[in-house]
Amino acid sequence: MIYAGGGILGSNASEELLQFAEHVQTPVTTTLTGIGGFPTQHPLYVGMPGMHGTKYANYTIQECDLLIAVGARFDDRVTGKLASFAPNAKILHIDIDPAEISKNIAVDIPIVGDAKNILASLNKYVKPVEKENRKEWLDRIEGWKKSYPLHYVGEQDGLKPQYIIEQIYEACKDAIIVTEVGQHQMWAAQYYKFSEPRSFITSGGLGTMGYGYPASIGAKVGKPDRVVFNIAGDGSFQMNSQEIATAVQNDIPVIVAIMNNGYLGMVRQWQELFFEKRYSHTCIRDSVDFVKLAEAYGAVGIRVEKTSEVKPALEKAMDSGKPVIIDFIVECEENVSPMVPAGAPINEILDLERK
Amino acid sequence: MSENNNKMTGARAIIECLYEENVEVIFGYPGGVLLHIYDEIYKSDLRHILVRHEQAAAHAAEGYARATGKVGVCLATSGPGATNLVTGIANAYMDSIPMVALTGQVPRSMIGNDAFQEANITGITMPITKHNYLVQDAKDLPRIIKEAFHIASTGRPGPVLIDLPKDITTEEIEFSYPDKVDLKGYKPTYKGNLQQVKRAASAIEKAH
Repeated sequence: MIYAGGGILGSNASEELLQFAEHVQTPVTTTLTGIGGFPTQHPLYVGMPGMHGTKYANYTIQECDLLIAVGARFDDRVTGKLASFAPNAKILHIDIDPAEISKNIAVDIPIVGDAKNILASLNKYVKPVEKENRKEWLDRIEGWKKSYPLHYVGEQDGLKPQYIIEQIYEACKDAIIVTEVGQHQMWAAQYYKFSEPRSFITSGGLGTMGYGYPASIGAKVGKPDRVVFNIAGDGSFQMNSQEIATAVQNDIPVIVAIMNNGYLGMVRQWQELFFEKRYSHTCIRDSVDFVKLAEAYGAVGIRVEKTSEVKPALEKAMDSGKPVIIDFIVECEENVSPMVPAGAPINEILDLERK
Repeated sequence: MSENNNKMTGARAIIECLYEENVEVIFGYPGGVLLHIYDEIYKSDLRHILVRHEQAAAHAAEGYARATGKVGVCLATSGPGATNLVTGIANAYMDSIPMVALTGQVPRSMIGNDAFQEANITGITMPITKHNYLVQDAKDLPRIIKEAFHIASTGRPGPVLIDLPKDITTEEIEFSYPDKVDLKGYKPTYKGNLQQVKRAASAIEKAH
């Protein structure tokens, strides 16, 4: 299988990657920073790997006999327990940085160079594989996709953040999605569908809360014709919310969609799972009225509390042509699912959805 | 621009260098040691987005770079302005995003004296930049800026910081922009080794 990282975007190798995957009829997973480097609705796509990846991406990695890493660096959030990662696979690693070769995992075949270049040569040197000759492997993966899809329990108990992300996709299928860091970031990675490179902008390695809003302002300045959403949490957004002033003064109409659960949600999730729900300093409920905050800066503020209000709010935001803050009051103890506990092998992946 | 009689201040030269690199927008926040640079920005066509905190300038430059594929540029003053960029620079380093961060610095004669708003930003950012520079002579500005954009955007991309002492920005230089960069010890490999590509091809053909 192909495990593609942010290097695909760095080297503008999306086309070559698509050709290569189809050429050898091999499933593709893209890391958090590689999302958008391969069309997420392509039949060969298996989603994101690792801690909050899809079950079927993780199972595919664990069962494959050759792992082709391209512009990826075997981050701990991808590999889980390193000793158990891709246990049956030879590792082929394509990276422009020789320091990455065998840094985290012993590589069997390294190729140092530009991903675009090397994928193009592989397309030349590797004999094409017919779909039928890969049938058994692809059917197994298809079976995992059917048995273990990404899912969440519907609307009966409050507004679901995953539903909001799906609705953002429905409202605008070619937006640039920028995120902060935390649960909302994982939901955005899981539930928005990406077809273009450079459409998903997120703080991967460092995990910087407060990254998303200024990054979305930068993205909108660079791509003024695209709709730009900053999918945020109520914690992260407060780390750089002063930038509403920048957006208003410079007329940069980014739409912020706050998944407001009143918690530093990802830390709360770990406290729930591993610290018997002792929510030490993760409750931030009623910190601020985000609608008034938006209005105080001269931006548009919208509050959404019901599922039925989601669509109209998104339409209003996109029509306004102004900087908008939408305060989505979401289910407060929703978990990001599935999840591999830190340090576990990636096939030991738990369902955490709330019933 | 004509080749002859291109005398200008360091501050003006910095703007000319950014034009040479086809920079369309920079994200920044002014301050004492940047006054001459901001005066040149005022007189230029360069688009400048005024943020409300320098951290946002770094993140915005990164968001711009990720959306467009170009090098993102941010600008902050010395001391706290520079240290406020640190998180954004570290973020760009971790995710391999091309960025050039320009920071003001106290005048050369005052470096190391704990001057007002002084911070050793090249020291601080050593482990989180692909490379960084403290400009010691205004004549070096064009070469350094050319190299910075080259390093940021080639090989494995990443952030490069250029620290600009205030007196560099007022010094007059004869401006000429270099055509190319030649850095010993920095030659990123683009083409894969053919033997390795063939080994890989054979492994791929054998895989199920």
